[in-house]
Amino acid sequence: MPDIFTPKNQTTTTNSNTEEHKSVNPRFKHHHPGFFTSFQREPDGVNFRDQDENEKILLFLRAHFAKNLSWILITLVLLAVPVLILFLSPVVRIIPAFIPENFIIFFVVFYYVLVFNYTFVKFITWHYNISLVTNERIVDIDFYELVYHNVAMTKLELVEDVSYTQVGFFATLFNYGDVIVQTAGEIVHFDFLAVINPSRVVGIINELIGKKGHAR
Amino acid sequence: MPDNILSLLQLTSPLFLIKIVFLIFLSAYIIFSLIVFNQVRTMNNVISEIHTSTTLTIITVINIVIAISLFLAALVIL
Repeated sequence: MPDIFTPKNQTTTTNSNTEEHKSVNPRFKHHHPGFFTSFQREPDGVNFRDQDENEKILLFLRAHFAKNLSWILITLVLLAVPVLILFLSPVVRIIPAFIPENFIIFFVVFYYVLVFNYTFVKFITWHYNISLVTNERIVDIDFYELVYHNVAMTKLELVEDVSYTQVGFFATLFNYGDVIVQTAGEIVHFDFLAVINPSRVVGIINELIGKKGHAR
Repeated sequence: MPDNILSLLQLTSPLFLIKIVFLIFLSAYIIFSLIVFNQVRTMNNVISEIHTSTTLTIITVINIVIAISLFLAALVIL
């Protein structure tokens, strides 16, 4: 039978237990974005340059990990190439006979190091393309294959409109899309490309703009 | 055959030329690994994440060590 009456002190004990559980259980305690995090609300342990003392990051966004599938596939093919050559070498003479074994081993090692570098550069290109929504502004960090990086910011007060587009089979399958933030500032629009759950991102930004609007 | 002519012949051998090409590529790779390190450090200054930033910096440092080691190994072994 369900309890109709519960003593007040017992309820308090339950609440304090929950609080204790929250403080002990790391699931409640930390929200550190990892290497592959694409969407994180109120992340811990993330700071950006020019961050104000009271400024709090509310949303941490990267492109969906599915956007990396193309270069992951290329890497897998590149990793398989020396193995294929090794299997084919008894049938077809690919490596000239005069080249000694130590040269071949050296070449294979160097080749794998280059493949690692290709993968690493592709990974950091994805990893450092970050969009942040704080309680004061929107920050868009763009990084393109070691040759280009750009940091753009706009105050939430300057945000005029937020919308998203979700085009294509994979975008629908993995639920990612481009969020476009129109501003009245110097930079007319901010693009958060291929972010996961774009409708939710738009909702959060709209909510913040509403709050800021009321504060004005 | 005099030693001078022998050493000249060695210089024109295909293996020696391959070694030179290897060393040029490895020098380029050392420069590239330094650029990667510098860019990762710059990006960590722009945005720092408590766990990942340090790990990525360590990976780039290891990459530089590998690049220099390969260059020295090519110089000695090949």
